Amino acid sequence: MTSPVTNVPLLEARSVYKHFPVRRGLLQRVVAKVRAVDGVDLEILPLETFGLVGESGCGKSTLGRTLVRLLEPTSGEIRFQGEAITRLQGRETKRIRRDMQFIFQDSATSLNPRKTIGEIVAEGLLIHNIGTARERHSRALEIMNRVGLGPALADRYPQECSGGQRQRVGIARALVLEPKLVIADEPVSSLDVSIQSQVLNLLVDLRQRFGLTYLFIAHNLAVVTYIADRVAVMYLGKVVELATSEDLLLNPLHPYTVSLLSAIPDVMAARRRKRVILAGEIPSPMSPPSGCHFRTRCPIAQPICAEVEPTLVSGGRGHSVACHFPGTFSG
Amino acid sequence: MSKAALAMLDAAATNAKGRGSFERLRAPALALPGLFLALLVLISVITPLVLPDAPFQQHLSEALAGPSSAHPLGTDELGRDLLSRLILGTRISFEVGFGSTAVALAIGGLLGLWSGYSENPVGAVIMRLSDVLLAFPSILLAMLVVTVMRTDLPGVIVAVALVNIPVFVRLNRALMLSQRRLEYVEAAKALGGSTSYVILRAVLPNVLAPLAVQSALAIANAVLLEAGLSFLGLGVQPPTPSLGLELQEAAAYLRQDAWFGIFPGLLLILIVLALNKLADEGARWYGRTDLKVE
Amino acid sequence: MMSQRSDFDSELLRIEHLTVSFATSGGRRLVAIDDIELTLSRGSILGLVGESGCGKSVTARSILQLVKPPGRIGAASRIWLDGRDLTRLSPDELRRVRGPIAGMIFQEPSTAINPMYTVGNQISETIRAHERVSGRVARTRALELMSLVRIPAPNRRYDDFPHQMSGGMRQRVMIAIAIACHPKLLIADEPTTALDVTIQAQILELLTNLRSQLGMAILIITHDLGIVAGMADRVAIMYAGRIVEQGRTEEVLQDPKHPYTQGLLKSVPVLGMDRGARLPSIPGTVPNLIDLPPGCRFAPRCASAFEKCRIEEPRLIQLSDRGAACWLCELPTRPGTAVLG
Repeated sequence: MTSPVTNVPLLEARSVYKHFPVRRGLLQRVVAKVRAVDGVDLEILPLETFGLVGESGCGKSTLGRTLVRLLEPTSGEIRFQGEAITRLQGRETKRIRRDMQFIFQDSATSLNPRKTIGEIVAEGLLIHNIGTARERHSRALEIMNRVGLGPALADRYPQECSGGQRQRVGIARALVLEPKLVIADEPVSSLDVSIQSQVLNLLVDLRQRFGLTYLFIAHNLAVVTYIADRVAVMYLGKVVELATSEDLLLNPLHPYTVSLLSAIPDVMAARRRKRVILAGEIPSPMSPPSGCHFRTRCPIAQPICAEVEPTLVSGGRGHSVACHFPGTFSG
Repeated sequence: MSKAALAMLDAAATNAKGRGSFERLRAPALALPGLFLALLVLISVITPLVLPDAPFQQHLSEALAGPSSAHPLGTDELGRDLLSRLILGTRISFEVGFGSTAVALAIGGLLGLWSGYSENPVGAVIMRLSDVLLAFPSILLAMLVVTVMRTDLPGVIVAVALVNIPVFVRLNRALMLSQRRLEYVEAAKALGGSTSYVILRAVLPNVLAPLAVQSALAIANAVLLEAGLSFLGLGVQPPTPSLGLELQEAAAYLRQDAWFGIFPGLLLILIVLALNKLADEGARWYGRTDLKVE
Repeated sequence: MMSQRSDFDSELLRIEHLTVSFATSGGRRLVAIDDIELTLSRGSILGLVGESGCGKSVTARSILQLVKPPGRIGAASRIWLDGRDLTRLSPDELRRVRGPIAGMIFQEPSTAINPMYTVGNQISETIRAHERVSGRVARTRALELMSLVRIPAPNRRYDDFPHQMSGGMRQRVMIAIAIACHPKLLIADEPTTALDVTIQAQILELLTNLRSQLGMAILIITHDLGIVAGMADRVAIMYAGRIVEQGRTEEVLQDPKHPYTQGLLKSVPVLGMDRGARLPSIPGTVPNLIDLPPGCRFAPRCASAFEKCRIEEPRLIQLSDRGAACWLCELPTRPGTAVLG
């Protein structure tokens, strides 16, 4: 089940934009656009865990959905295993779906309330017409077992399960088709602290056992840097910094990353650390600031930041940053 | 304890199996109208099979007679037995009611669900058409269709179905829009589900309850509409009895003998009441079982 | 650091024997919180920490007697706030307590903020509900409050409606409403859970500043140990309706005595932790409060549980200003075993 580790990316995104038109009036004219994803390039290598982190409005969830074509990109190109998938239709899209799966954040609404757990887990097999009913059922039980769910749960309904159990169902459902890439959108954010660690451990175990590549989307940097090999930090639709977890923590170059790291409540460092408190609110994705989107809250903004938009520039060791003054702000 | 946890405990404590939701239906509230309608359907289907001629036999010498042993409800102006006419008329009402609603539900339902899910511009066109149809008063629209087609049972069914289709289109579109926000719909798509899979196998089971409620109301509407059409002479034609037709016939003889107009009217009222009660109960139950666990 | 005299004087809030139960449709009563005790000194910050279902929100609500049927506060419960027993007050008297003595803020601003009125109006009205002042005076005070909670350009924002503001702004408005009458206690129920991390940092800093500026005590309820680490003087950990550990924040976090606290601390990913290490996690799940096992509620999940734990439920074992509800604390000192004292 493992593919050889190569440098050919499993998933590639080039200049991906996703804008949502806002329509008003009888004729439904477009009056504004929500620029959820505003020009993103990234590559996910096979067997790596790639983390995508940011706060609300940064577009990480939208990007995740666009990459698997749950949403159609406004423009840009997405390649999966070298094959362009942006313009596929119908049956072709269905074929791709077997290799790219999605774990949703809200397990309460992402499981069909009218289906049993067993049916939900086996749904992928049903859709792709794999196996007989009995075979599907036993495969479902097998996967459920792998994620720590007992067979008795197969006849229950989602409403009868706890949050942790439901999240495991979501994971089982995504794995039943044996995908290569799994995009997990905030898989542990809605869980209690003690259940979070159980599910995180599970995700790590499954990664090894099934040879999975993850795109792990979350707002919690501590969780993301723990589980991901490389991390991209997003702000208002753009990637502002990209680095390995270690580099990001030891040497954050973008002022936003520095503030984010500093804002996280940390049990150990608590009172000793001086916190960077960003001023102001996150701007609306409908009207991002000119030039650098972050400049309105940036502690070191200069005039050039309003005029020229910084591009993601690589600084060696795979560490890229989109800033005119990278590394000059340390909190 | 959070409300969600409490709700979950509740659910676990009071129902341990099955779809859960159905067990919260109030049996007594459903029983009366349900049994009444079931009984009525049974009688109205069986009796004409057993006594096919009774509604049509004329006993002119006994015209407008009161209740007697041979004719428990008396006779109409042509001496025909009122009871058997009433029963057959009820069956006609049900045929129109159920038939037209089934058609409207199937066509309107699928169109509505599809237009709510797909981004296709045709969906918007369907909605505008529905709006136009809805703007007509239902009786006028039905009359229009019947005049264009023909005035007998199939014609009436089509006319009434047409009146109800836009209602179901709007309802289903609204239902789909509300469900589409929920991630299980996206999940079905993410697994590779086609449009028809998502609509029929993922979403439809979740909207059956409001559809059932609306159907009960639609049937009531259809029954009334059919009666109206027949009253105006545009529905089923004599000698086939229909509750509306009988009302019309009775109206002519109101001064002489008010007696035989009472029953068709009464029956219409009871049928519509029973259907509305079922719809009410269904709506109440549906509202309650949407306890979402956060 | 506040001195820890147990004089009645410096004590602002004292909760004794607080029990809250709910009637369920099954007929049985669910005891959400079972006989808990808490104290809060004037001007200090107490963090009440626990996961969902542990009863922390119910505790917060019951202080101001906000628990409605089917919930019921136990007869033996006593809640002393600023010298008065809230459980014995009439609804009128309670209304005069809420606002001037204690204010409350919630996770969702929409529960406290009315979408139909401007934010400035709501702050002013809160002031006027408790004090006899003119509209103009109330407006001035409202503007001052808005500055106090760092709402930029208060003059302009006074006439904004809640939906015109962001989540962080609405939270500030809610804080302004809660402290409008300069209460001695602010109860904050998960005030930042719904907010982004950078906004959360702003709000928490604001609350800490308000404590310094107004001398106001804060009871903050959260599931995030990091938050209490950053601002609380003392912390109480709740599990399944009971307080299992309490004490000064630094001591509890650096040297937790209760296995649950220890487990929680170890299972949360922290920045910079060893990526190769497996996250130690607490096995099992929170018990069903209707069907509690005998003995310690945490025993089924506890790696150190022994015989006594499954028979008898431990009470909070106190020593000076720390407490842990765990039989391990009773065991005689053995080399390498930590014990209270």
